[in-house]
Amino acid sequence: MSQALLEVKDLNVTFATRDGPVHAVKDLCFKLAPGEVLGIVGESGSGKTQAAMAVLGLMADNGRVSGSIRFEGSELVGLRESALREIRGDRIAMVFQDPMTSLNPYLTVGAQMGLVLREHRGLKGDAAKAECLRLLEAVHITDPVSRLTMYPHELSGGMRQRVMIATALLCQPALLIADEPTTALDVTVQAQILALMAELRESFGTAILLITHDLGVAAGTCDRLLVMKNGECQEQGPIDACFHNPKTEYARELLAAVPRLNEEVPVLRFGNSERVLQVNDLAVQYPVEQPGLFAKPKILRALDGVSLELRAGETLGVVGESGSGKSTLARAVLRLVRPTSGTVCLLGRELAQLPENEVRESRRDMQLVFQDPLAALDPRMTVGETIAEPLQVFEPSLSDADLTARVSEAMLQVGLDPEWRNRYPHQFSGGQCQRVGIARALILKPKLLVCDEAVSALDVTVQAQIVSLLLELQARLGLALIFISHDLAVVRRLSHRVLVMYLGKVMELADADELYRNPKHPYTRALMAAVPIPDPRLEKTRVKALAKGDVPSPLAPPGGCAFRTRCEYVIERCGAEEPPLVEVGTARVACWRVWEV
Amino acid sequence: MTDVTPRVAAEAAPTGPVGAPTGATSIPEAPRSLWSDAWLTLRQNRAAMTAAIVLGLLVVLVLLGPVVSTYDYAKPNWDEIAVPPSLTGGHLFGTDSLGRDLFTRTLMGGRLSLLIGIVSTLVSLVIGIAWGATAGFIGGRVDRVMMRIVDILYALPFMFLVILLMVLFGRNILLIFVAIGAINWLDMARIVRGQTLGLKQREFIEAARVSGVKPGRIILRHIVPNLLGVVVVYVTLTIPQVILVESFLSFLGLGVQEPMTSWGVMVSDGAMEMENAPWMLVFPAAFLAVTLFCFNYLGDGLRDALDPRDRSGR
Repeated sequence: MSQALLEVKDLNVTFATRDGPVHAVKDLCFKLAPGEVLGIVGESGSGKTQAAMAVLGLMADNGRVSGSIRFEGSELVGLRESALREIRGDRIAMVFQDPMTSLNPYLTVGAQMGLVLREHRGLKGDAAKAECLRLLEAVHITDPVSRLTMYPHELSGGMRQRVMIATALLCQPALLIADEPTTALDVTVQAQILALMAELRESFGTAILLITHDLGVAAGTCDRLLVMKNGECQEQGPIDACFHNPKTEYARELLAAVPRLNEEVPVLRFGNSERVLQVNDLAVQYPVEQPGLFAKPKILRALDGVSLELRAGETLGVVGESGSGKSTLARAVLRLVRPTSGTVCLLGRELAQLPENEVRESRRDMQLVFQDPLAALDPRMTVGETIAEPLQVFEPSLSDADLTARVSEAMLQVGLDPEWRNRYPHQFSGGQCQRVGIARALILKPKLLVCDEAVSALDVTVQAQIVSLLLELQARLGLALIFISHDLAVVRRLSHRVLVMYLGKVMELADADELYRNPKHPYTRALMAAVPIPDPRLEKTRVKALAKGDVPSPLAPPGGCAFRTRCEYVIERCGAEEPPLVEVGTARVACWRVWEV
Repeated sequence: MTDVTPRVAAEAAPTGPVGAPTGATSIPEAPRSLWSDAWLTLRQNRAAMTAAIVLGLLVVLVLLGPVVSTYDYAKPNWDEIAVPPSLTGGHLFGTDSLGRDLFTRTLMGGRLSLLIGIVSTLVSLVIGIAWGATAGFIGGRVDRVMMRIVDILYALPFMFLVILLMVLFGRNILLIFVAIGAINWLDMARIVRGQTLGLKQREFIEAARVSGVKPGRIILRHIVPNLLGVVVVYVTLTIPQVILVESFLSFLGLGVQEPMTSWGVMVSDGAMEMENAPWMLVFPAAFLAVTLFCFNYLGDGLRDALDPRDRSGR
């Protein structure tokens, strides 16, 4: 083995806090060879980001680093700030999670890249510009010349992350640290960025330290893997060994919790049950004010002609990328926004155009579980008060004792200790907060439960627990469930049928089993291809048919078929006419070439 | 009852992506409310408790002092003009330029200043929160109309309003309350509206709507408690401001009338006699300063106490 580029030995990071020292990283050791990709995976709070920050010498004021970090033969721990600064950006570069907040909104792309070049390589003017162009081309940015004069907000998320990577590579660093580089991106764009990183590693020979919570991402990109928990290294080794032959209990647990695309789908146990929800041709449009005194507001078609029905005990999965209208669908069904047209029929009652105070009667039958579990709870109310609130609204005559009994029952049902009802939300973990949210939603025994990205903000092990809780509750209570997620793999675990949306329109609606085995719409295929599979052998040999480019702005969607700008099967007709939803076997698909592709 | 299995979540408390702080175990499990919790936390805040005790003593002193004092606050005594303070001579704080006992007058002035400070602020607080929270929460056209009304009232010159009221109703201390309250609630309404607009976007408000909670109840149970932090800070800034505004009005001759007095009046009178009789400035100014300090510390303490997130750290 050649000499290590980076050698970390007994690294400890501690933070002095009011509650005493917090040990964020404990005795971490690892080596990284030149050109190698090491993945650090772990759940939130596992210390993976702090370990990387220590390598960069970026520590909060109350942080203390001890141990040894040798980079290219020289010791980084205890180095002066000025010496560190020369290494940072030059020999070690960093790509952050959110490209919008790590780019300066007041500088053009060219100016930001120019700063790095002047600082580290002394390049100015035309030479600097030429160098910027070379790198923007290397990261496959279309039309790089005009991008140089653009500001970050004028670029899409994927494009911004490409700019970040190009900036990081300006000085040809020996080591690139990427901290969750694709977490904030849509899954199709994530696949593009990961492909780009693999390509750049070949052409530039840069070693990469990839920090991620997503084992699928790690499987496809890394040579070796380091699993962290509570600041300690749990397992370290070649990627194949870690995935196929994990040695520690924790690594096994983590792997088991990851949702997979090739899992069994749940069986629909309720054959011909009561129809809970019937939605016909639902559309929601928002006027978007334009700058300028006389500018007409633009119409944003957030949801366009969606029809579906749902029976008791059935789960409908809704998937799509950002801007696909899946959250708007949830809010229109629950009458949190008033639909522009179409009907929403809940248990035989038509809700779409009712005034708010009449909708309220139906609220006890339909409930929502939110994405961010902590934000969905009032920070100034105890969880007991929060869970009791719907009950107080609909059954105001309940005595205090009955109320407490019902709250305790609801808390037990979701696996929370009723003794905790006097605690505040911030005292709970994310998973526990989500259980509180579910308890609140279920206390009125609703018929329809809508989960809007309900597990997306949670760690994989917690995610798996919440998913099985939902499955169990559904089986016991016969709930009709709408489960919205951007993650196809999670949706698979729960759904009997799946609705695929893109820019407010339905692309495909099919039985889950059929959809995952035989996706018919090109967009569904592109989505499936983009989902990273947590299996390094499969993931590295998989041929991916990726969607090109980014999701267009919902304010100016392409005419005809919405997906045509990114579709590999596009023909002339796609631009001229919008394809209707047609029945193909048991599925319904909106594509002109559904019979051919 | 449904089949309930007592199976408690296996996750460890301090994990989770939202970085929930630890400390859950140290919290007692007795039934609690926002207010009883706030009181518990406030009691542990030494600065705030000291401030509250000092304020309490001040109020008692101000109420009882003039009653038990042997001197009259209003009657001039031509034999004892500008007597310096002494422990033995009878005039603890000395006398003013009309020979009136300064101790009695300082306490009388305190009655008025504290009353104006607290009452005007409470008035502006109630109107401001109700107006701002309603405008912000309902939004749209209602919000625009309500906020334009605020803008129009802002445009009225304050002095003009005071003089107008004086002309219409004659000089009256009540009018000062009205005038100050009428101006101050505008600021409060704006601040509260801005905060409400932000809160309205939060998911827990949407969660309340999904639960069928009516708008009025959402404002009272969810919006207002979450506004308290900002409001309390603003109140601690407003009380001193109101006390100063009153002294300014009195200085112009629009406020309280002799022989009635307030700290503001006494400070401005004392300032003129600063060189010959500094005690005439020092005593009322010291009382005013101590009061303002106390309100500030108490406000800080209240803000922390009303935020459950800050509690676990202590």
